[in-house]
Amino acid sequence: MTKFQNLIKGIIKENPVLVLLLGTCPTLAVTAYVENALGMGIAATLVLIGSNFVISLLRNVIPDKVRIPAYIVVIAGFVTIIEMLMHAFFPSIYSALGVFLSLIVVNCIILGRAELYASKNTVANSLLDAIGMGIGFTLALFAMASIREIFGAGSWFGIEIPFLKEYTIPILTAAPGGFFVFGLLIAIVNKISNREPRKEFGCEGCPSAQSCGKTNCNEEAM
Amino acid sequence: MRKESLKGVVVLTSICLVVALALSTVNMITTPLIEKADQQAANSAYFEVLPDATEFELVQADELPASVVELKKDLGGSGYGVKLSTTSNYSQAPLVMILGIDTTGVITKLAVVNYAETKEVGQDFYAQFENQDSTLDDVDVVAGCTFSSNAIINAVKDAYTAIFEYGNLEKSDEQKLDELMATIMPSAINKSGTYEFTPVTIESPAAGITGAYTSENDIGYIITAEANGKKLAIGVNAFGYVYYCSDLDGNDLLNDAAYKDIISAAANTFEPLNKENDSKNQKSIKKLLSDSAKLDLVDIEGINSSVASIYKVTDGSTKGYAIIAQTLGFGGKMKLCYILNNNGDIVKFKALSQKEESVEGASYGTLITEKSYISKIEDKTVDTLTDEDLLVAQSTYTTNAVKLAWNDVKAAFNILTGEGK
Repeated sequence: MTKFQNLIKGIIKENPVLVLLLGTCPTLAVTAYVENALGMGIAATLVLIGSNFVISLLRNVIPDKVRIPAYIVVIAGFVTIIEMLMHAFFPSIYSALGVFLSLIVVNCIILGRAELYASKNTVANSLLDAIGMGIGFTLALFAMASIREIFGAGSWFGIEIPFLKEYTIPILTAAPGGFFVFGLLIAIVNKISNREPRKEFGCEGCPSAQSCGKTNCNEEAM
Repeated sequence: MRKESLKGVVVLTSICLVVALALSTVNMITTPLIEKADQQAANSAYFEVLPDATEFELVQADELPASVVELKKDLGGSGYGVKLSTTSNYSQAPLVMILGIDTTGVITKLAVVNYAETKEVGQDFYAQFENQDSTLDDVDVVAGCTFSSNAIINAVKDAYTAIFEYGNLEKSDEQKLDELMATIMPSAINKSGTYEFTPVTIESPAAGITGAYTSENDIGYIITAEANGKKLAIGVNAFGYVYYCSDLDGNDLLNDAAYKDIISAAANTFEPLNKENDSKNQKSIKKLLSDSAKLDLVDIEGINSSVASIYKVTDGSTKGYAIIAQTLGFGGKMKLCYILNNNGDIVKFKALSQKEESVEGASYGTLITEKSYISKIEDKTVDTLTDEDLLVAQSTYTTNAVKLAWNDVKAAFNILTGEGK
């Protein structure tokens, strides 16, 4: 895989939200409005970049037995730093994101990429992977929030859309609407990427097969 | 194995220490910025009520009134912001509001901060407070939400108390006089818990007399005057006697010889109200008595109550007093007449006049004109008539007005029979 492919794989082909189905919780929670979604996307991307960088740097130092707690400490550290910086410089977005900012620590995307990729690849490749995944996550949130806010609240980025403001579909800004839009986007991405339906739950149908390194799911990670 | 475990411990501990160091560094940099952002957020409601403000500073206060949570001053000099907390009739959580008052003591805005919609009194109620001063003259309660409305009005009054005590705001002479009026004529209180006094023209005022006010229930006058370099407020009852005299700070001057002349001038400014209304009152009272009944106008000096007129009654074997009290019910002025014999038996009771006010189809206070209510009262004496007898169903304000009137009538009767006037 080239460096460019490594960068862009996270945008469509291995989009963490719409293909890998990671980070569903913050995706549904903060995508009622575009501003909040972008804030979450950027925060998560910065954490992903920082954690991938450090974990990749220390991949040969951290013993296998303590890798998960070590990853968590690093990820939690970056999340806390981002939280403090957001609180200081972007207090309105900080208030809007609320508890979901802290919950980036347990976002599957961050720990998943740390475990699956950063711990097995070079710093450069890990950074590219983090940037690609971050962009993919942010774009997925952006697309979802745009649909929900435009049709659910009749606005975009808080700016009212004259005609749509009179004819909103309020359920789109609530949880059921969120799930609906989420499913819709997954279907669209599947169609665009021409992914064949998985015939079995094996490595052939797994989007992470290339980076995983296992020959089957039961095997210990290399 | 042991070596591996040791390595794990060392690596994990090192990672934790490095992360802790990074966090403490970022924390050191961001703490002042976060504090400033938090302060801005906390003050955002204050900026809503005082849009020209630059920065707020907490005013230190030893003891704030009950409804006042904190008092803040705009360092830019545009006024004060007061955070108020009061109970709401329909909510378990207290109602939190921010009140903005400018440097002239006028309210800029009253904003509710702890919920977006005011479920009970409505936005129009809060809008009433804008451009009001401490007298709150034009603020009226919301029908059906009188408890909540009064709680909010009292909270705003507490805000003014706090500002006058701990802020740099000075009350104007008008505000001082307005506040004194409640002390001078407490029986003039209306359903909103406020006092409304109307200026009265004096045709040929004596020297030193500067103005006059009458209450909504016509129980006397408040005369304003100037003497010996002081501005005075003088209370004159319905019988033409002065019962109150003070400067605008409330210092009692009634028995001060230096003010004897101005007090006398105030007493003579108007004809006593009981004499002014004599023929009308006699006509109304005689309808309750026989044709041969005799009524003699009686004066009482020194009382300050809702009693506006007294007659000595001689009607055959019945001898006693007819006492008219004027109070303010839900609809406005109520004129109640009690005829008591010298033993204290209530011979007759009648609402000589009252304004009924319809709210959502219901009429308040008309029960006091019904035979069942009247007979309940006429069956009693000065000692046996209770609050329960006076209760007017579903009419809190009318009931309060009737109780006030009765207490004043009873007090006047006791003075009359005790002093033999």
